[in-house]
Amino acid sequence: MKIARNLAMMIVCMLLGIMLSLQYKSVNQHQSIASLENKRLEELKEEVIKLQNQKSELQERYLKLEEENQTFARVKAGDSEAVQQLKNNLLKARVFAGLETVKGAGIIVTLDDGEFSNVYDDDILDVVNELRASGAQAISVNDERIVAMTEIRGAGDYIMINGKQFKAPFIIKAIADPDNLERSLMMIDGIVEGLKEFVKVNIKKSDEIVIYKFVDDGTSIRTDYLTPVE
Amino acid sequence: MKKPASRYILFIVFILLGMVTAWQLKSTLNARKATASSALNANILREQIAELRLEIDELRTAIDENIALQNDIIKEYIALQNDDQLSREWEIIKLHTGLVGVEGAGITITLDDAPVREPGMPPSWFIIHDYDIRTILNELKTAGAQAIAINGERVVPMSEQICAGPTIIINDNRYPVPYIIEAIGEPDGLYEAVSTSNKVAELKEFNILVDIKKSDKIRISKFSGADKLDRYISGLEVVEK
Repeated sequence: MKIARNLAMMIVCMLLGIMLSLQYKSVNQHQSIASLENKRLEELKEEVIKLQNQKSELQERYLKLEEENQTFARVKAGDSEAVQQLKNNLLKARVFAGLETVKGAGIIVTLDDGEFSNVYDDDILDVVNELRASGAQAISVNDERIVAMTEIRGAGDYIMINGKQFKAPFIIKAIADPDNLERSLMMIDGIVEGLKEFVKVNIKKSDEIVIYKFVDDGTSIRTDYLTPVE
Repeated sequence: MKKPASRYILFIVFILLGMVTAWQLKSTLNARKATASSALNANILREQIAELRLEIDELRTAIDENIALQNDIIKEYIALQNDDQLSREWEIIKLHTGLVGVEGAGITITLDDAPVREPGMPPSWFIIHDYDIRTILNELKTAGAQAIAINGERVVPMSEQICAGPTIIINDNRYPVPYIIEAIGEPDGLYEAVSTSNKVAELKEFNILVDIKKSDKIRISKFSGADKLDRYISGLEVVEK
């Protein structure tokens, strides 16, 4: 009788122990599932905020365009304000395309042949790309304006830019916040550090840099393969 | 004396059992509630996202229509001016610089990282880098490409190609592999220039996938920032001749 009772007690206690540990595990699991759900919710909320920002930016752009177009509609009637606005927009597009001479604060990078190595096309391309990535708004190399389809390509002793031949030294001018441009060029293990091992590099900030417009002689920009699609 | 002792034990055991049951019940109920409410929230958020996407698409279409309208008015105005140089420059601005979408014959280059990397060699040898793209673009420009896009992003005068981890940033937008470069221009010339270039030979040596195709009709969209040019010229002051 006594033995039977003790045995029963033992079994009850064992069951209780197993239940306890199962319970503990299950509660933990519930909690981790709940936090996962929360994380997913967070991501969705972030997406909503991102899209809302995008929407309000687009709305602003849309309203501005609508307003502009109301003025534009009066161009045909010869409204002088409307024509002025159209000319303004045209000028902006020309500046963006590189068809206007512009000035502003910026940086001048000079690359010259080193003792054992010449300046290669890739060196110039790398500097130009770095300047673009740091927000340059206009760039010229030896006063040749960099436009959308400008090539920088070594050909024998020369480097061709916009179909014209150039030799070192190469003077690269860029307009944008000079400190920004300098910082990204001079970054540790950055582009200038790499170039300096082979060629002479000189960097000068300036408050006023003039960058000449692209000179269109009808050969270096061609559009005969392009059909506009609206 | 023996009876009460075993009673105490039983007493403690049942207290514990009661606590465990209560705890269990609470946790299960809570979890159910949490799942139900977060599922509800998630559904609301998903609906909101779908709605916002739709509105954004509509706005984009409306903006494009307005830009097209503006271009038409400018075109009419320029035609009235009877100024050959002005019309030619407007063509350059629109077509060459990327303010309108264009269509024409050309080539498509698809680049993808090597499917297998050889052990013992640095993995960076088997992936495409920003400078690879740069060299290929330069090759295309030299061969007379008239419009270029990378993953649909139009190449404009100040388009950068920089690498950011496993992705590339073009016109401030980030793109992962594969990279699709489309170029409009004389297809045979472009094909020849790219397929025989040192860069492509080098990439192929490392099993990087390079696929070049000629095409009669390639369509390249306009520059994504075409309606906010102010942002790209804010630091420039025009110098009168």
